[in-house]
Order: sequence, then C-alpha cells, then structure tokens
Amino acid sequence: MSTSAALLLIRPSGTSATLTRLQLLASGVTTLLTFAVIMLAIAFWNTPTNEVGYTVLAVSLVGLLIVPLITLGSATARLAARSRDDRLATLRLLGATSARVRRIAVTEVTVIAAMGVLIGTVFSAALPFVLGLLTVYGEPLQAAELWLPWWLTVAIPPALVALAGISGMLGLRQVMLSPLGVRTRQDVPRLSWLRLLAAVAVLGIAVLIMQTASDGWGAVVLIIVLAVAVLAVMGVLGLVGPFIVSRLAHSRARKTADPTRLIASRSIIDNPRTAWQEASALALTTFVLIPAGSMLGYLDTIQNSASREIMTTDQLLMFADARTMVIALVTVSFLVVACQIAITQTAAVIERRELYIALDRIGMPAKDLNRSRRLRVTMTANIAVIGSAIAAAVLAFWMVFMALATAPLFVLAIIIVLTVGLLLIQLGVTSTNPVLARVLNAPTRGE
Amino acid sequence: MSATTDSQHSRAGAQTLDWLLRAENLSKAFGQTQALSKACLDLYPGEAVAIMGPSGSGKSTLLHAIAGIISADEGKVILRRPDDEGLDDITTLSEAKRSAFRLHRFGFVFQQGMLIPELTAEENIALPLLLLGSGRTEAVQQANSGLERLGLAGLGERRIGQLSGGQAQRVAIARALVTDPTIIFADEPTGSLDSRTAEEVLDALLATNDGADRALVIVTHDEQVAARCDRTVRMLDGRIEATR
Ligand SMILES: Nc1ncnc2c1ncn2[C@@H]1O[C@H](COP(=O)(O)OP(=O)(O)OP(=O)(O)O)[C@@H](O)[C@H]1O
Ligand SMILES: [Mg+2]
Repeated sequence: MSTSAALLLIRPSGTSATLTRLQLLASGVTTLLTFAVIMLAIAFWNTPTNEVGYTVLAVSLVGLLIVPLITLGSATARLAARSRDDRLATLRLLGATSARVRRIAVTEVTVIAAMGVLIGTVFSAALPFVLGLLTVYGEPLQAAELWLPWWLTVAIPPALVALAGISGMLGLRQVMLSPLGVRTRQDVPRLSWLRLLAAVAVLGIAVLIMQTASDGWGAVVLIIVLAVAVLAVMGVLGLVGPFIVSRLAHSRARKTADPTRLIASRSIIDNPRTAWQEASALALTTFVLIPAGSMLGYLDTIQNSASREIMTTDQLLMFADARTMVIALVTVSFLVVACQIAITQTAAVIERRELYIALDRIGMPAKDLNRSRRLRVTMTANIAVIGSAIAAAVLAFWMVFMALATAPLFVLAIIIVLTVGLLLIQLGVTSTNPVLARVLNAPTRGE
Repeated sequence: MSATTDSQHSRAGAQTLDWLLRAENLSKAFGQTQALSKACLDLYPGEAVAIMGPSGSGKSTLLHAIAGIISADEGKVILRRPDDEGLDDITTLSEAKRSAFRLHRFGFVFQQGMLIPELTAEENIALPLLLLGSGRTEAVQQANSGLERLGLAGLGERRIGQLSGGQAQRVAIARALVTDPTIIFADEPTGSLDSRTAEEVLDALLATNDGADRALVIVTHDEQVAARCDRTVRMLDGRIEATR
C-alpha cells in the first residue's frame, strides 16, 4: 500500500478532528508555559544576592513545573496516537505492517505537535511583557532581563517536538494493533502488600530527611535532598495511588445503587492506572502546595511580628518572591490540569463511544451519562488530592503544624485553592459534554 | 396488502385486542438517502413480528424510529399507556423524554448485545432497574432470577468478555426483560451466532412473550427466524412492501 493511500486513511475527520485541534492547543500551551517557567527561573537565578533560597526557588520552579508540562505534552501525544484506532486497524486490515502503521501514526502526531510548538513559540515573544507584571527581588521584572539567550530559544522547540514524538511512540506501545481493531493492553495493578510496605518505608525515610534538613547543608545538597524526597514520594503515590483508587472503586461498585456511580467505579477498576494519571497533576500540586503554603503562612506570621528583626532584607524579599512562585506554580498546574482533563475526556468519549451509545439506547439519560463520566474523574481526583495532602502533611508535619498554630488563615487558603482545583476538574469534564452529545447524535454510524 | 391485514387484525380484535403501538407514515432521510419513506406498522399484544429485507432497505432505521432512538422527519409513533389510560406520540417528545420512554417501556437486544463490558452480567441486567431507582438488593435479586430464567444461573459474577456469544446474547435478553417492557426490539439478535446457538437464543427471545401482553420486533436476515414469528414485514428501499 502506498504511503499516500495510508495518509489518506489516517487523515482526521469528525470527532478526531476535534482531538487534533485539542492536540494543537495543548502543545501550544505546553510550549508557552515551558518558556514562561524557564524565563521566571532564570530571573530568580540572576537576582543580585547571595541568598541560597533564590537558587533553591529557581531550581524547584523548573523541577516542579517541567514534570506536569512534560506529562501534558506526552499524554496528549499518546492519546492523539491512540485515537487513530479505527483507521489504524483499517490500515492493518489492508495489509500494512504493524511497524509501518505505528510509523505513520507517530509521524502524524509529531507533525501536529510541531505546529502547536511553533504557535506556542511565536506567542512566547509576548511573555517578557506579561511577566513584567511580576515583582522579583523587590523590583518589577524588566522585559530585557527576561529574553532568553538565543541558543535556549532555539533549543526548546525541537526538544518539545521530540518529546511529543517519543511519547506518541510509547503511547502506541500500550495498544495492540491487530487487523480486528485496536485494544488497550490491560494494566490491572498487582500490588502486593510487600510493595505497599516498601512504599511506606520510603515515605518514612523521606520524612526523616525532611525533618532533619537544615540551612547548614548548603544550597546544592538541600536542592538534591528536596528533589529526591519529592520524587520518591511522587513515585510512591504513582504506585500506591492506582491501588487505593481501584480498592475504593471495588467496594463502591459492590454496594452502590446509583447506576452512574456503578459504571464510574467499574471503569476505574478496569483501568486504575489511566484513571490515576488523569488526576496525577493535581496530586503533585497538592503535594507541593501544602508544605510551601504552610511555610509561607509561618513566614508571614514572623514578618508581621516583633521577631521580624531576625530576618534579613534579602530574606524578606525572597519571602515575597516565594509567594510569587507558589502562585505561578498553582496557576500553571491548574492550567495544565484543565487542558489535560479536556483532552483525556474527549479521547475517552471517542474511545468508548460504543459504550455510551449502548447506554443511551437502553434509555440512560444523557445527563446521567455525563454524571458518570464526571464521577469517574472526581472519584480519582478526590483520592489523589486527599491522599497527597495526607502524604504532604506527614512529610512536612512540623511546618504544617506551625502554620496551623500561627497562620490558620493560610491553611484555609490552601484548602480553598485545592477545592478550586477540584471544581476546575469538574468543569473540565463538563466542557466535554458536547463531544458526548455529538457521538450520541449519530447513533448508527458511530462517528 | 399490509393495510388490509392490519385493519382486519384490529377489527377482529376491536373489543379485546387493541394495538400497543402504531407507527404512521414514518419517513427519514440521511442526506440524499431516503432510508425510510411512509412506513406504517401496528404492533399488537402477544405477537412477534419479523422485519426482513435486503441490506440497506431501512430495517434498522425503522426500528430506531419506532423505538425513539432517532427522530423521524415525518410521521407519528403512538404508544398506548398501560391500562388504556391514553396515548402518547413519541415523535413529539424531547430527547430526554424519549430516553425515559425507552427505559420504562422498551427493551433492546442488538446484534452485539450492546452490553456494558465493564459490568458483570448481573450488573448489566440490573442496570435498567437501578436507572429506574430500584435499590441495589432488589435489582440484583431480579437480575438473578432473570439469569436463572434464561439458563444462566451461576454466571452473574462474570464479565461480558468472559461469556460466549450465545450467553452474552441471553444476558442481553434478560436485561431487555427486567423492566417488564411493553415492546422488545431486537436487531439481528442472532446475526453473529452459529446456527445451533442462534436457535437457543431465538427460543429464549420468543419465550419472552409467553403469557405476556408484550410485542416483540425482530429484524432479521434469516428466513427460519422469520418463520417462527407470527408475521413478517418485508422492506425495500425504505418502504414496507408486504406483510404476511
Ligand atoms: N446514520 C446514518 N447516516 C447516514 N446514512 C445512514 C445512517 N443510517 C442509515 N443510513 C442509510 O440508510 C439506509 C438504510 O439503512 P439501515 O441501517 O436502516 O438498513 P438495514 O436494512 O438495517 O441494513 P442491514 O441489513 O445492512 O443492517 C442505508 O442506505 C444506510 O446507508
Ligand atoms: Mg440493520
């Protein structure tokens, strides 16, 4: 079969055109935010002071935001590659080899990602002016300081495109391309209690390290220690999260009399890892926000008290900047979450259209179908937020305790911010209701 | 021909046997394709009607229009309320109301069953009851008696993927029956089964009408299936050509 014939078949149409647009949007947003994060980090890095805190801020900003951004970029590419399913199956049926089909799909996803990255890069030219609204080290940021060195500007876009290509490839690995259709390989987590125990041990060691960490260790060691602790805990959450989620879904599914919850729980049980991934960006935000917000609350109390003298001018300035960073962190990760939810939910509706058509036919109202989709995400998201909140509170227990005692309003603010995050997730799911409506309006044809 | 049979039918049973559902002059076009043109069909209590015709003749479209899955461009679908308390025209209803009608009054069996793969057999059958607001225990109990009735006792905990084609199709029949619907619609229910399994599934399907005032509509390509129904409606190019 000629490549042009293959490309003809794989060309997006109907609902998958929606997905293509979403992929464009997501890779554009990813690019824009990546530039913003790096600009901000460089601004922190370049502050004219010896305060090690600034170095820590710069590195953690990049560290904390690059992860969700990469997740978003790769999740998009993965889903985009996967959502070509029926066309991919047709290609196989017509005799293309599996490798060839993969190559075509990955090429297409990469090309779309490249277009999105290009758009994002163009828009990022406006970033220095927008970021100029922020204050760092007591002075508004100057656009001139924010321009990245040319080599960095040139290096970032290709790196992002390559990332999309690799993610698309990995995404297709998860599916089996047979001529009879594309199936997701089942990934039911088999988590033994032994592993759970190991996870708790890792958490314990992380707590120990966090509690003993002090300024005296120096910036580099401190950063490394913090990074390792955060990574370890995220790893543990990624391992334990799906397990807990599927356990809870199991007990729900067995008891509930609410059909929307029954379907939501059962589909979580079927694919707990995917369900968890959709909520994991929020888990990371929660995990960072709790100690960071608590520390801000504590510092705020000191700043407004008589013991203000113990803080140097540099420290006071840095405190304000840490607040900027936390706000940037929350804003960016919420944006990422919103994008991710819109994309994963669109893809989920398209991938599972037969299920929704079947349910619609037996008379399940559209509003219940949407409720079931929402529940599937919020059940997981609630567990993710509450779970990582507990993990964070345990890990930074001293800080959270101090904040509760000295600045309860800050703790309240953290809770409000997290609630907003959860509401945003609901909103993200709701924004895809029209996709379901479109799928249902063409009941016989599927697309 | 169709008109005479139907009117004779209704005249003969005027006192005792009124139609359950009357479809009048249903038309439906998809772009340039006239999938359905002025199709009429009455359904009576206790009867099994086969709909036959070549591929693309509009059988599924007719079934979808009668069942309120799609809305026809023209025509009426009138459904009698239980205990003769009046009539409803489904075609004038909103999407949500038609959905409620399907849930309350109709049961469905399709070629692939259209069961929910994530749910167990038992939960699949219980689902319509849960949607109608039954409690879990009651719904599951009814689902299990449905399973038993269809010879599937003990398979309730299985997922749909763990059932054979014939078993899955019988689960679909149990699901269609569980709400005690007025009409059961089946679109090529035996289409993907071997002949012996098809026979079993057809037996189960026809048995749903035993002693009930239900109507059964089966779209089929199989003359043997049609032969076992009370009458056959033949379609061609979106028209009802003949009724036996
Ligand atoms: N959603 C749709 N969009 C466009 N055309 C459609 C749609 N559904 C049906 N059609 C067309 O309407 C006509 C009747 O289709 P229908 O599915 O009712 O046929 P059928 O008798 O059930 O055929 P088969 O025996 O193959 O199932 C066909 O020409 C078909 O292509
Ligand atoms: Mg058909």
